Amino acid sequence: MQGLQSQMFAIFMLLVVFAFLVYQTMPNFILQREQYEARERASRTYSWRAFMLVNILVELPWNTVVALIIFFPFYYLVGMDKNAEPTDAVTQRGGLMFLLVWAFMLFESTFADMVVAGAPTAEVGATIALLLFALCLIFCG
Amino acid sequence: MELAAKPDLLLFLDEPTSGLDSQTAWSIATLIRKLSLNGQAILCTIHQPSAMLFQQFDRLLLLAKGGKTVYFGEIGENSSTLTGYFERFGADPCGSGENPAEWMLSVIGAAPGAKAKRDWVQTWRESAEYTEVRRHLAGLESRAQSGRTLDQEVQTPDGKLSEPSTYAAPFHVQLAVCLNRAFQQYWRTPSYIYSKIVLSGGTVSLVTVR
Repeated sequence: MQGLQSQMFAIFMLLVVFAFLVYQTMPNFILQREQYEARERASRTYSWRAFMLVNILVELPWNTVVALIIFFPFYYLVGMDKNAEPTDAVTQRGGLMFLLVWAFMLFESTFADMVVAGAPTAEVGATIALLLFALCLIFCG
Repeated sequence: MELAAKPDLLLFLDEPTSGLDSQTAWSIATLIRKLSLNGQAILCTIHQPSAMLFQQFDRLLLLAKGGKTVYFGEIGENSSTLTGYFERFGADPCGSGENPAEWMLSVIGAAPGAKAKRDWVQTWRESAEYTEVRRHLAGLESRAQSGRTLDQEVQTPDGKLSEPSTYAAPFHVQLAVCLNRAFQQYWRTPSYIYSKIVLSGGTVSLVTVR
């Protein structure tokens, strides 16, 4: 029982990293957007749809890499594979857990893009993101 | 000073060369020329220009007494379009040594001691050039009414720039090029990726330490 509690807490601690990843993503996006608004939109090089889509897509591969980096130490060191051994479902559950971590990372970047696209600066975006993240924790957890 | 703000639509100059010596007038004209080559629309009144300076303008609107149009259109290489128009309607040919600007004034009878051979205002109204200009203006007008002029789209401050016709490249080309550039940017300034990896890796290692 105590082991299960520790594992649950480990998952919670992992989810907390969400907010900080969002804070990292935001200034990056703001830089890109300033450049776009000052130069490329004025000269009509490409449309804002292409701009947004590119900024969403470019995050995804890197967040996939990070999902791999998170998953392997986390899943095995916390000992979640041991939970699945009695029912002989180690591969299945491992795969599911990886998909969950991956979805979490993809959610992180798209969430950051969503919030910061409507915010004038990274600071305002971070405040809104923190509020929304707190709501996520409160109502899902 | 005004030029620093780069006027959006039109720069209006009222006789920028009057009272200047020919050297300064020439440098003013080349400056105006440079601005117009950079996409600035310039409307400029002028009097007694030298033949060289006259060449610097693209189009001429020549008004007779009472503001009636005598000519509106291209000046042409060596003023050939302009002189060609007047010569076609029976003006004395413009000699090679003559200044076309002064010549055209004497043709329409505006120069002192000159007498017009015919009613040039009426001639303009009946000419093919006149109908061509009217047709061009009607085309511009209909484009302005449908809100499709390029200038209007540039000036909208919000994100209404997404009309497909606004961009030279189709959407998939824009996307491919931008995506390529974004990946290059991430690869060449990897501090963001490093910090992402370090943050995630650090969190995981701290969480998993028992």
